[in-house]
Amino acid sequence: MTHAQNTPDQIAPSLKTLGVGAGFSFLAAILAMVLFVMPAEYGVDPLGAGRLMGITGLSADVDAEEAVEQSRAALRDTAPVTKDFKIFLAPQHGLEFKLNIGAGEPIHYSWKVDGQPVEYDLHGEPFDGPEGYFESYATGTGTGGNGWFITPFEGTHGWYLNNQSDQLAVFTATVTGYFEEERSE
Amino acid sequence: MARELCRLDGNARAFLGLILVALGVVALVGAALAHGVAEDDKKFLLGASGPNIPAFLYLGAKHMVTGYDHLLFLAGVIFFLYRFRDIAIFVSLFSLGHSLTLIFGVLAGVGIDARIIDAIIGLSVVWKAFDNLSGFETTLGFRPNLKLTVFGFGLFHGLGLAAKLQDFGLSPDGLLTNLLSFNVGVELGQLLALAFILVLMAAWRRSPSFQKTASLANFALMAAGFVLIFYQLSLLYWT
Repeated sequence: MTHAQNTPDQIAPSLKTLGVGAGFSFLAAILAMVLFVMPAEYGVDPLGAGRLMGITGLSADVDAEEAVEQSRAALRDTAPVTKDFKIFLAPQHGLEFKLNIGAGEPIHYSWKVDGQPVEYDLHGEPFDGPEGYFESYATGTGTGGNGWFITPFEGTHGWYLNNQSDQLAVFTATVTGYFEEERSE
Repeated sequence: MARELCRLDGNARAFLGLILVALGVVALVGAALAHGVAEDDKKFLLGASGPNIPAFLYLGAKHMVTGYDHLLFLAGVIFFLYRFRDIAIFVSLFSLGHSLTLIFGVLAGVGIDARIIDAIIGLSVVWKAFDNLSGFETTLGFRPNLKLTVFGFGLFHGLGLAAKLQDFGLSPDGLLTNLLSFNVGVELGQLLALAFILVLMAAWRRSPSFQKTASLANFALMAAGFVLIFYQLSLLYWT
């Protein structure tokens, strides 16, 4: 390859500049990974920077889309389960009632409360997600609801219930789908 | 910018003309496809059976124009190339490399993990930035053959393209036609991207700050390459 004299095909910084520059590039890349990529993509947030910026677990939404995509149709060896649950909600008390469910599972539900309206938050928490991360499917205050959702990730899915009245409330729910054992907190 | 363009030599102007033609072709194909393109590419490909030249032309071009890893490497390769002839030689070598592995990779069903290939593509970016900074001469005392490395990394870029195309689960019906169309699309997209990079570089080179910013830019390129490598390795580890 020939070149005109004034058109070198490289620049030649000193060994020191090269070392410092390459070192900085390497460190900058690691920082970019730790500050942005790892928290957003995997919920791994060693410096807490992801939580500060609110990007932790960002890609869970993407996973949800993929799960929905994959779960359009599925064949199973067993029939889906329909289960009834009954829980007593003490006055002035909140609790969580959740089930272990895989990713991309369609879940049908129906619930009601005998008594005063309760605060509810139907949501899911991924098993391998960042601490405290959850996604809500339905929230509000009321005495019941029906519907369905597709689980965006493998984890626990169910209700947070808060009985703010002074009387005992009875929560009953029917859930249909593929899920494992019941879990109550 | 217009003044910079006027200063380019005849060959370069002819090349830009060619690129404008390529741009026109891609735009026409895109327009012809308009409703198909609006839908998800993957879904489209999964449903496609039989030869569909315009669709695959468009997808190839789109993949190249939006594939920042390929663009970063290309920017590194032409960073210090001033003459049309040199640019043509190196870009052709790169194209030859990735066309070979793209076509044979898909036909032979080569199934190397895309994440490993993409990490190597990241390495190619770091390598070229290091080379632009005379890093090999300064540290090892020799410079690896440029043409050979550009061709070699071209092979890996092609494997990456092949892996992505195979992900789509192509129908064997019309496979070769679609594959060649995709490849031609990749080259058109590359010409397009090259046009933008070249115009920007031409303007930048003429500015007095080029000498000062050139090394900084290559260190930035190196950092971007490192991010690509780390990201692909993290995908291997976490997914």
